[in-house]
Amino acid sequence: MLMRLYKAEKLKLRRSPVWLVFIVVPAVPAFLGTMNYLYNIEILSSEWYSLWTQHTLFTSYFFLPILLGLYCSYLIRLEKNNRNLTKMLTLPVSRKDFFLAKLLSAGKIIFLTEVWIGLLFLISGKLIGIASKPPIGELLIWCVFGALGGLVMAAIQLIISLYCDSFALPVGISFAGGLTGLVAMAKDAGHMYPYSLMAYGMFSNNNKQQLTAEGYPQFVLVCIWYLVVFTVIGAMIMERKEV
Amino acid sequence: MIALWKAEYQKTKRRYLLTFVLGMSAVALLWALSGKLSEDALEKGWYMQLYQMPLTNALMLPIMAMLLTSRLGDLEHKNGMLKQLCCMVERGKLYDAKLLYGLFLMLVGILIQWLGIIANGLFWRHFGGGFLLKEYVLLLLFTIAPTLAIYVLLHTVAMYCVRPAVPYIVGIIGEFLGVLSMLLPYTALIKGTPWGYYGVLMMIRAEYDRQTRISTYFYREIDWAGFAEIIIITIVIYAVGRSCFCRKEM
Repeated sequence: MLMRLYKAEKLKLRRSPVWLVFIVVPAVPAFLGTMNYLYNIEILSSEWYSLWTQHTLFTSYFFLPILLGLYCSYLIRLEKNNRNLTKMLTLPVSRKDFFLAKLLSAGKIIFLTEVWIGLLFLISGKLIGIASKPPIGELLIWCVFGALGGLVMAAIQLIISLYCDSFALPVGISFAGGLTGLVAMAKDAGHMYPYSLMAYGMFSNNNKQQLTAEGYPQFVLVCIWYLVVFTVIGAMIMERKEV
Repeated sequence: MIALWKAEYQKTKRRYLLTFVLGMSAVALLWALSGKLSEDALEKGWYMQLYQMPLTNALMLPIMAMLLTSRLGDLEHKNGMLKQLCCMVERGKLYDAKLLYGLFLMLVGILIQWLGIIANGLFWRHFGGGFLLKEYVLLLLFTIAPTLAIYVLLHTVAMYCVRPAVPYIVGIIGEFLGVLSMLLPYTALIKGTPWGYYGVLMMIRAEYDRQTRISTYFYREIDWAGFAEIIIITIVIYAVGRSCFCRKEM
């Protein structure tokens, strides 16, 4: 049933241009971040690591949270338009699966965005001629952890969007979440605060990051814990929704 | 026009737009004013704020504009309200009325932030040296000008496109370009979008000494040509946007 619902989600988004934003937006910091790296090459001496910070700093704190808020808001709006949600709730499908399908749909776009960010990073580094070998293993971890942290954020945003009738309010909350995530990182609480998990996992601020190989299992556990909690809350909200 | 304004107020009555503007302004102020300041920073506080505020504004105000335009536009697109409204009212007038209503809300947000940073310096932090009245009036002017251009652009997009996500998409890409271009020395890039003009109209530049941890602030020559450019850009966006909206197929 879950897969059927997920396929239905895919159908709903088929001709929607919203995925295009996730392709275009990361290209901007990739281009300007690379230029900034070249301009400040005397200070930014850690080659690939410095380039990664330039690519992801603003992205993970400000723009990806807004984009995720936007995407989740859009996913729920598809249901709220023309009373689709009411129709969906009268169908013989599990309501929990319905929420999970939405989460999976958001997860897919987050994962693809992370892959795209990683690819842009490698291409930019090669184009500007960074001599050392790219940190492929670490890059994989940054992208997977970023996607995991993003998934937590998406679960919260889906719940908020389910509650709010407005399209704009969840996006605003998501932006505020990104900002508070930055504060949480500054206060060394980045590994616990749901809205900073993406930036924390992506190592977007190397100076502040304390995530080491020993901390990986802890990070994954925290993300899974939040995912379970928010998915249960989301499923409960769906279960209790009046038709 | 007054009737349209009243209708606009009625439509947004329980939509908490003003609350939202106040909230965003509070977040922006917290963001700009939080943190411990050293003795040196307190001494040069007025200059420090003049240097920092354009970056804060470049981040916060376009997002406020994005959310407001999308919300105000969405009100009309929902359930085909715009079609009905355009039968009763001249389209150009409707475009202007909604623009002025949103701009009024934006202006409230800008003024709160501006007064907030002044109050911070005068009554809370007690910055050294006298209050720089002329510079702060210019800061207000240079904050309003790019915000106006961005708002008119996003308002046009929100009124033209049925999907509420479109103003966000345009806004995010523009803001990204604007914020990142402020870190680079390429004038063509900075002046390439209205978002970059927060940086163009900066009055202060800073040099930070890592060893002594002391910042030194210098006056930059005011780019009046840049100011004229952003006003012209605003007028062009307004004229093109209004005409596009008036010709839009409903």
